[in-house]
This record gives sequence, structure tokens and C-alpha cells, in this order.
Amino acid sequence: MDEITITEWDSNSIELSVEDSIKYFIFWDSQILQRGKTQILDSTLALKLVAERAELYDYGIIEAKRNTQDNAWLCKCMT
Amino acid sequence: MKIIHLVLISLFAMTHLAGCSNAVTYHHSERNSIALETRATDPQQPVQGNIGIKTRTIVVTPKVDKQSGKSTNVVSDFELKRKPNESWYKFGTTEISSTFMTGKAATLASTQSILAVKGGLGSDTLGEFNVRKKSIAQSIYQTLNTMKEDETAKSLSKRLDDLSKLLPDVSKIKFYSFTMDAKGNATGIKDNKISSLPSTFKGVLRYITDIEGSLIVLDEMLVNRAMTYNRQPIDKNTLDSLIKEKASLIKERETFATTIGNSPAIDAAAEYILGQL
Repeated sequence: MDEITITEWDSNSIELSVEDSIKYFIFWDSQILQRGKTQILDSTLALKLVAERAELYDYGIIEAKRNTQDNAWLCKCMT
Repeated sequence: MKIIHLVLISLFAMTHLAGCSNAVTYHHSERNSIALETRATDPQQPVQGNIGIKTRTIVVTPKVDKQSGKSTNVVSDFELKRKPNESWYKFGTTEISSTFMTGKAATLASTQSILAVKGGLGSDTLGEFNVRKKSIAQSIYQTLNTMKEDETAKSLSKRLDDLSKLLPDVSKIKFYSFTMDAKGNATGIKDNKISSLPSTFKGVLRYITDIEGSLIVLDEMLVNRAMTYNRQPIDKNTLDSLIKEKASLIKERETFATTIGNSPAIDAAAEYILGQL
């Protein structure tokens, strides 16, 4: 894997022109893993499960961020 | 009266003595019947026959974990086979094999040994294991779809897609999700109507995911009573109706487990993908 800096991230990316294909979703931890757990410590696993969930609706995640207050993942997705 | 006493004593023995000794009590009985029908007035009519089988299984298992209330894994099933007639004047043999497994054997047994053991999608209670199973099934489906040149893969993928035909009319089912405030915090629940699902295996996975997601949402509402329903406070009548909805969704999940989740199409696809390794 080739790591890049945040500056490279910003300077090398372009805004997607088809904004209609972009949607934002929220995935609560309780929806992606077992009941009773309020937080998923393994973010890699959590994002994999979130990505699978989005894929069922033909969306791919292009950005994700954590909502710690409500134990959820907020995802910017495109179809 | 004597019979009632005997039944009560047997039940008491099964439920109480088994618990004391940590033993699994298993009772399996079968009743078979053969009925033949012919018409003496019309000798040209063929002889018609019916073979019936009635089974009854009772299992009493002790708790293995007192805190969580988990009990021993137990699987019981039977298989009915009719062997062909050896000659024209003999009746064929009816063979009934019944199986009973406990503990690790019950969870590790192969599909060939007995279909019910494997469980399949949607057969568990909500939990990590079922999430994992769905994840595996989705990966298998995705992999099959990438094998464009492989005729077997294409046929297995089609078999998985065909499972969507067994889904109920989702437009008649209410699904539930959380409602959020401006900061993205869950404040209540709302019902969602789905007009249709994709007629592919993705539709199948979405259906069971939506059922389980709805159950999680309803459970959360039952715990957090400050939650609203469709942005209105929940009164007693609404609560009763939501509890009924929950029971109905649990039933839907059970039906899914027996009709789709245990399908041999999923086992065949899994076996084929494993064979690629």
C-alpha cells in the first residue's frame, strides 16, 4: 500500500462531477455487528461490514467518518 | 385420572431430574400408517395408497451457562426414504433414519449428515455469527459473479438469484429504522415501506438484513422508552402494536430460515467456491 499525505490527497483529487450519484448514509454499530455491543473497536472490520451493507444497495464508500456520540459510521457513497 | 398422573410424573421427571443431573433428555417417537383404497365395483381403477408418518420429538436440555442462560446445542432430524420395489408382488421398503446430536457434534456436522444442522442464513438469533454468515454468502455471490467465463459459476449464481423468487411480497411488510436529530443521534424509530427488492441474491440478503435491522430497532425502542415512533410519543396502544409487529417479523425470519436460508443452492455455491482454493 502506498501512503500519501493529506496535502497529496487534496491536491490530487477532483470533485466528482455527477453529484446525483453521491449519497450519505448512517450505519449504527448495532446494525452491523452483534447486539449488546455499543462500540466496535476494530474499525477495519466495521468498515468492511459497512461496505458490504452499502454494496447490497449498489453503493461504494468513498469517504467515511465516525460519529462517536451515537456509535455510528457516516458514509459518503457513490453508485 | 391415572393416565394424567402418569403423564405429569413423566413430565416432572424429564424437566426436573434432567436439570439436576445435567443430562439431556431426548424423546423421539414415530407413528406410521399405510392406507390402501380400491373400488370393488370398478376393477379398472388402480389401487391407491397413502403412507403417513408422524414424528414427535421432545428435548429437555440443562443450561450450560447459568448467567447467559445458554443451553446445550441439540439437533434432531429425520429422513424418509422409499426404496424401489424389488419385484412386482412386493411392496417397497420405507426407511426412516433419525438423528440426534448434541454439543460440538451438533454444530460441526456436515450438510450431508443432516441438512438442519447447518442452519443456514437467518437461522440464528441476531448476532455476530449470523452477520458473518451473511458476509460469507455475499462474498461467495460476488466471487461467482466475477467468474464470467465459468458456466458452473454462472449457473450457481443464477440458482442464488432464483432464491429471490421465494421472498414474500415485501410491499406488505413494515420495516423499521432509526430517526435522527440534526446531530445524527438516534431519537426514535420510523416505519419504512419497501415497494420491491432486486430479483437477485442481493435482494435476498437485503430482505434478511432489513428484517434483522428492524428487530434491532424495535428492541432498542423497547429498552429506550424515550424514543418516538414516526416522530410521535409512543402510547400504550402503539407500543402493543409495535410488540405485535416484532413478533410478526420474528416469524418472517423463521420462515426465511426454513425456505431460503437452508437452501441447497447456498451450500452448492459455497462448496464450489471452496473448491477453487
